Amino acid sequence: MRKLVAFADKWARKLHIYASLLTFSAMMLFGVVGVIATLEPKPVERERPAIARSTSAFKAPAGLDDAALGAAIREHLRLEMKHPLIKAWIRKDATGRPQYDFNGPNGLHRVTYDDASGLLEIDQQRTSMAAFLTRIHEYTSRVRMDDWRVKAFGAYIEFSIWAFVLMILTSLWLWLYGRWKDKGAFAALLIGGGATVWLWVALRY
Amino acid sequence: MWKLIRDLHLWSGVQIAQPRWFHPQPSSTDSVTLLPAGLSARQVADHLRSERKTLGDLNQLREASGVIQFRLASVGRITDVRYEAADGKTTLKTNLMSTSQMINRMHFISGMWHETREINWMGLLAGLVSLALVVMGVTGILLWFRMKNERLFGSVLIAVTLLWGLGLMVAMRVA
Repeated sequence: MRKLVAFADKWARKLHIYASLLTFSAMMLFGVVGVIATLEPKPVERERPAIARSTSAFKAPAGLDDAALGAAIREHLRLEMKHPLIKAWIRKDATGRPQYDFNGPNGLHRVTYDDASGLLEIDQQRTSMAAFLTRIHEYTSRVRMDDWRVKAFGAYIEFSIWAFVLMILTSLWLWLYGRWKDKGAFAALLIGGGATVWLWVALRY
Repeated sequence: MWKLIRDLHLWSGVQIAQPRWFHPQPSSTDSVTLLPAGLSARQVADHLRSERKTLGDLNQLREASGVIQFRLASVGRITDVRYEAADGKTTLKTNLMSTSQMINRMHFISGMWHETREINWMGLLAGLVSLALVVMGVTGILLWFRMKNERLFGSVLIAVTLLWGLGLMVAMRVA
């Protein structure tokens, strides 16, 4: 039995170290994003990114509906690093021209198609670094963008989530097996647990 | 302290990644109360907070034909309020989150600009835990580097995390 416990302890340490090293980037990202979110002002007081205007020549093939036209524009502008269009992002502007919002980690491309001039009018809002980090920390393997970088990063975040679970389990083992009498750990548990329970009750009931 | 909140954060992450494993269903209750007539939305919210302990930030405000409608959004509870200014009749529809939904919403609460003191405490707690994550990452690297027998393999893992994580962040940002 003693050998088994020693074996488990050795591998709990190793797995804890390996999981934490592999997820170091994600841990930093989550921590930084959390600190940024804490320091942010009210939503209405946040600065909006500046709009950069440009145009691009584009002649839409005949007979496309609005959704298909949006897909053609997306391909024309090479907007792979944008979410697929949903209904709310497809509309008409004040003069009845089709308008599309292409959202992605770096911000928004609002594209209006002018059939008469054969031009795409593009309003580009590039997000701040803080907003960029906030957006990408939410990506997982379910992210619906075609871009390989986004997909690979989503896989990394999802992997990191599972690795964090492993880290929590191994850290519990390391605490209970090696240092369960540590008063500081007990104090941290009581303070953290107490605060969480208090806020849970206060904000729910 | 950070462990508990990190558990919440990660649990939320798992939910986002695999929502089919969870089937959150909020429970809803309706009630009617009488408040003084002729109040503004802000005054109605203050009455509800102080007299009925209906906590939450005021949002989704609409006013039309003497009827004020808004939402008081807390972490585990969302209350839709309909106030008739003429007679003070106030209808409350309270949606109580399921446990998993509440954990998920705790993960999204941030900042200390909220109208509700308890939500600001939650935001502060989340901020401290986030700061602790950064501290834990940096001290973890220092502790690992002192273990000479793990240095070589650990360096490989660090290279992987920098390429897979940080490298892709840079690649996405410059795209």
